[in-house]
Amino acid sequence: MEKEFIFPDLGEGITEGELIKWLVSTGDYVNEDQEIAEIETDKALVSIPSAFSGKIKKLCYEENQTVKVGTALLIYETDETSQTEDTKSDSLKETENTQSNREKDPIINKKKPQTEQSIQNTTHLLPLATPATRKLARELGVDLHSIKGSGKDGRIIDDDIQKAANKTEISSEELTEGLGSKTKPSPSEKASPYEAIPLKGIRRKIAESMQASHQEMVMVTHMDEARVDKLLEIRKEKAELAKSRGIKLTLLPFILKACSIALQDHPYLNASLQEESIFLKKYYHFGFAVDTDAGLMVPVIRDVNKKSIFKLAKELTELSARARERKIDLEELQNHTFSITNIGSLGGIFFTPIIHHPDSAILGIGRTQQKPIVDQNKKIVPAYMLPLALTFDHRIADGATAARFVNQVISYLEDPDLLLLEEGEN
Amino acid sequence: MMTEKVLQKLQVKSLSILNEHGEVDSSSTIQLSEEILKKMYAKMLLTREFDQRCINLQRQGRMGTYAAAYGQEAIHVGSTTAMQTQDWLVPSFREQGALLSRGVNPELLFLFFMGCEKGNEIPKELHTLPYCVPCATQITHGVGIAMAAQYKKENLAVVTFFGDGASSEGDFHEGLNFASVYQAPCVFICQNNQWAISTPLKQQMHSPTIAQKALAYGIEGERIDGNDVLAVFIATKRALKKAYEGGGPTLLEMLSYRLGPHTTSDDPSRYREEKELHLWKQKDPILRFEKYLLNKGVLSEEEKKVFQEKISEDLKKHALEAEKICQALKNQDICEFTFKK
Repeated sequence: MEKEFIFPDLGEGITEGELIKWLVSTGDYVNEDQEIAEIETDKALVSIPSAFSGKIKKLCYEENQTVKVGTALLIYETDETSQTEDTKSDSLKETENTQSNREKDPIINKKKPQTEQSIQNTTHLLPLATPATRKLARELGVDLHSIKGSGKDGRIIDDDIQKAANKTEISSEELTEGLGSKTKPSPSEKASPYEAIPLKGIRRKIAESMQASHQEMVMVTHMDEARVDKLLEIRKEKAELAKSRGIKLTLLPFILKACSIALQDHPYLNASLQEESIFLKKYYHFGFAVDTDAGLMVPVIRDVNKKSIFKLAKELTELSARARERKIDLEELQNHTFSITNIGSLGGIFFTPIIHHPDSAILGIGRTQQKPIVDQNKKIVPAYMLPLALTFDHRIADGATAARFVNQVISYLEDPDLLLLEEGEN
Repeated sequence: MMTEKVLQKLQVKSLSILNEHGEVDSSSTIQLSEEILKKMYAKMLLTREFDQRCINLQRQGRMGTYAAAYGQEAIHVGSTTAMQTQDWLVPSFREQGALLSRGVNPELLFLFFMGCEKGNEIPKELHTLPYCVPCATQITHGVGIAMAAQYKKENLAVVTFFGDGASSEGDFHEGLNFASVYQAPCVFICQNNQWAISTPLKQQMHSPTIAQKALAYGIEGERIDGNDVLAVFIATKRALKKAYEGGGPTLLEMLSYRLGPHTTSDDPSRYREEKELHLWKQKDPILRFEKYLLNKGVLSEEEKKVFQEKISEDLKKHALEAEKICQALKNQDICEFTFKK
């Protein structure tokens, strides 16, 4: 008869192991306890002894493959037939015949209920439930055998007890349905209540990078608003011109430009702290967050301070398109000094961005909205306000630095002519 | 003027009888019958075979985490052979040899490691506590039993097992202090296997011996060759005699070596030298006792084989039996044996 050797949990709670070496091949006859394979888990490299004797029909995995706990490692063709009584040396055989063994065993016989014939084989065993749930059942007078558990593996939970107790009477049909649950599993028994997604690829990179920032840095977020009416006008005026050059003009390139100029006056926000030294960077490479199907990607625009707003707009469009198509090179994601993340297109006002490791700051942009403000003449007027949230690493910079930097950025965004005057390297 | 005096000069003794070549120190006078010697040998073999069976069962997914006693069989068997029926055995979690030697059915031990609570239902008359997994806590239990026996004027002693790591735990010191203050009839057996999981002895204590920790509490401490079953027997016998006569507790440091992993979840090749392991394998307690018995003519090669085969067969049967019981009691209430009904 055919038998599977199921790969067990070899440590305390491991889920898989790497098959290092097969010590047997298909067609070999293997004795019980003979070593069949070497498997390395998170905890140890171990040899696996065979659980029974027989001829190997199939090796289910190849060397260097990952073996999942609970799956068949190999399949045997054993000598015995499934009906043979004479299988003393075979453990699985015996456990399969539990019912007959149970009758023979004196220890277990004591546990047997009297009304054996009327009750199904398994019902004399206590249904799965925690001691607390059992206590609740006793208090409410609910018979655990009479209800179907809705928890994992059919476990009876407090809720089931409460529901059963609330029913004034249980019909005989419901009772049989409960007992019959063995043959017809309820949907809840079959479907897992959660889905496990392995952490890999881009998601894994994001997780590692975020964790590195969060563990290492002392992050503070400074928030302010810029009135961007003038900027919006310029954008509107130049939209046609931009379009003629194949450029879609948004506020983002203006913000990039403003930051690159302001950062030259605030070098500690274009820096990184590594091995007890603060590196102030004299180049301005900005990462900008792109939402792709695979998750967040942060392509980098080089030398923002040296490029025109049109050029920046063009690169933003191209890089984000390539990021979404996953056609971006690794190099295009590296070597950034500062980052910008724009959630405004989706909504949201203020938020607390996480610094792109190992930078010292990131600027978050929310949605531009019309708001009533009090102008210089103390009149309430409508104005387009752009929310800005700058997260900085307080190990490297202080709140005053951040405020001064954001003030400067705001001044450029509110009065874009200044951009023209300040353009160029300091 | 400053006066300085030496108040006390303390000493730590050591004991060994049987060397690794199976030769007995000529000055020793052991009077053990051939029958007892053979029994001790069989129990040591049983311990080793039981370990191997459990490791295989664990690797086959038929048993939970298991801590083998590989290399420490002499301590288990030597000490329990010296005990009398009325004495209490208080084990830690690696003392299968001691439990088996006291007469605990292997089936119960299999059940315990298969996760079945029934495995803890050790017959009362064996005066043996179930396994205690938390480090060092059983030391205070042992002292408590000894103090109770003293109070009830029962003529017995308590033998408590623990490891080298446990001697750095608070419970060890509290236990020794109470036992010392009340002169409780205790024999503390520290199995110094030199590794507290992956921490070597030198990294978890600065004292050159564990035996000397007894001196701080005014009790006797002795280091015994823990791979020498005869020395373990003699030392335990002496300590028990002292305890019965009201002489108070003794700490016996049994120097040995854990030849296998800490448990089935551990891989010692990641943290210790192959050289060290090789060295200690030559000091194997079973090998040296076997040499001694073969030389003495107490044991023959044939008998040895018969012993081994019988033990191996018996254990396989017991394991299958335990699996059946486990299967039948699968959904048993884990608290069933916790409270008195």
